[in-house]
Amino acid sequence: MRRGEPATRRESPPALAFFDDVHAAFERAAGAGTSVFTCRLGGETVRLEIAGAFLDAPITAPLAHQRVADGEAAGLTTRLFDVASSGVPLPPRPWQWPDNPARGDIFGFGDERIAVSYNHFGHILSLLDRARGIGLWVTTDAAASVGYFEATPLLDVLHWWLQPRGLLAVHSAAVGLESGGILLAGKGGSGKSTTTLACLASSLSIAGDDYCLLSTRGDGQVWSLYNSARMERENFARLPHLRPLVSRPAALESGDKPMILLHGHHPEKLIRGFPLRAVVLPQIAAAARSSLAPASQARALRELAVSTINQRAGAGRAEFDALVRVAKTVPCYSLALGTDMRQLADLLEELVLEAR
Amino acid sequence: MGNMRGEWLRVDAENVLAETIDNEVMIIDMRLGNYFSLFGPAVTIWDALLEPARLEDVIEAVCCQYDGVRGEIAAAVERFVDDLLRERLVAVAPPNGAHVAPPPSPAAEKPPFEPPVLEKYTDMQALLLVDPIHDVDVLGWPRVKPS
Repeated sequence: MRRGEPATRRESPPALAFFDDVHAAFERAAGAGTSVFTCRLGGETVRLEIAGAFLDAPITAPLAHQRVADGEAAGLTTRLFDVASSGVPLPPRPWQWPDNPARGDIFGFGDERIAVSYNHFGHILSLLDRARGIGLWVTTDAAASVGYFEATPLLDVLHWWLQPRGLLAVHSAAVGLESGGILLAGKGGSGKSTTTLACLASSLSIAGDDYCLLSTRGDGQVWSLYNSARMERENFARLPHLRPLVSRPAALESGDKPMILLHGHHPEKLIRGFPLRAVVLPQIAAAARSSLAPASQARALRELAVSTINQRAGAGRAEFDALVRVAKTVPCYSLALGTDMRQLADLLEELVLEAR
Repeated sequence: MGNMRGEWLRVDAENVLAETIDNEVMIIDMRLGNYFSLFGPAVTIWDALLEPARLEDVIEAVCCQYDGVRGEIAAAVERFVDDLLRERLVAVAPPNGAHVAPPPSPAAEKPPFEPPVLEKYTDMQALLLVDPIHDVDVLGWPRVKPS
């Protein structure tokens, strides 16, 4: 490493040797300069060292609301570079691809010290040295894949680091007040993001749209992770006033899911976190008015666990058990999502206030 | 899946996550991303297979909980366990000293037996299963297709 002795390749396990090789590639890419960004996520300080200019904005913008002074001591330092723009290649791939790679897991290669994943959709290599608290995040061609990672960057590295520290990255939105709030869980197309963004017109603040952090320390706390929000193009018809806030307006016409960076437009509507009071499961309905009804704990578990676990390399029993505890201890509601966005916001506001 | 009578069977806890909640078993197969729901007698069958059990033990557990013709129950349970094996949620697993659940006691009141159903959801498969990788560069990394 930069400040320590490099591991001797012949003595190192394969995963550690590969980690060191990728780190050496980062150091070559960093020769042209790095930018530093430090943030606090659920109380854990994370430092990013970004080689080259291209990655800085898409990586830091979704985390901008969590920024702290760069001098603050960080438990995790993650180093990032892009192969295409830096001209620095990755070392040769040391594992065989299985026929059907799942979630980016590299079965049989990582170990207790080194976590590794390769995301085939975004062409992203993620590594974490748990012993030294150093992560590596490398894109093959960031310009080609930015639409994939710009809303929720670094998820694998952050998950591997934060989960053992009692913070689980959950595939869920979160809205509420300082006194308490709710998770909005559901698969793509359920209306989760529409519901979240409708809350901009209420007294409720937003802790997250796609992902948030759930404390597994027994304190029932939800923490913000990203300030990005993405909504299917057709749902902007329900919230047309949000169109001018889309980061890349071309996405309103193309196949990418349009993204809004709330920190840049509505920083006053972001909240660091709150105690969890309920889980709400949206489902788009035909009626004008939205309504709530009790939902089964099993359905809440399904909506929280299936996508959280199936989209995260290395996720398994620990994550599942944490979500079981949430489903069993917190009231769960199904939300029939109507077309009256003002009434929807009022309904959720009322739920949060009553659940205090 | 062949004749499983006499075989010891058990839930594949290494690859399958499951929880009984609200009288429903919610299952995730971590290998493929498929998820499943079980209700009623299917829950009894699943619970019986959390520890090594033979098919006849599972049938007995269901007969203790549900009212019906034993032969019909046995046939339906066997078909269902066959489904669990086909989905690799359950595997052959000799006890090898592991705890084997004692025979259940008959329930005081038994609801009527209905054939168990394995509700399967495959919508997550597209996220998990990627086409085999053929196009890689000289260092072995997949080529990025132009957007």
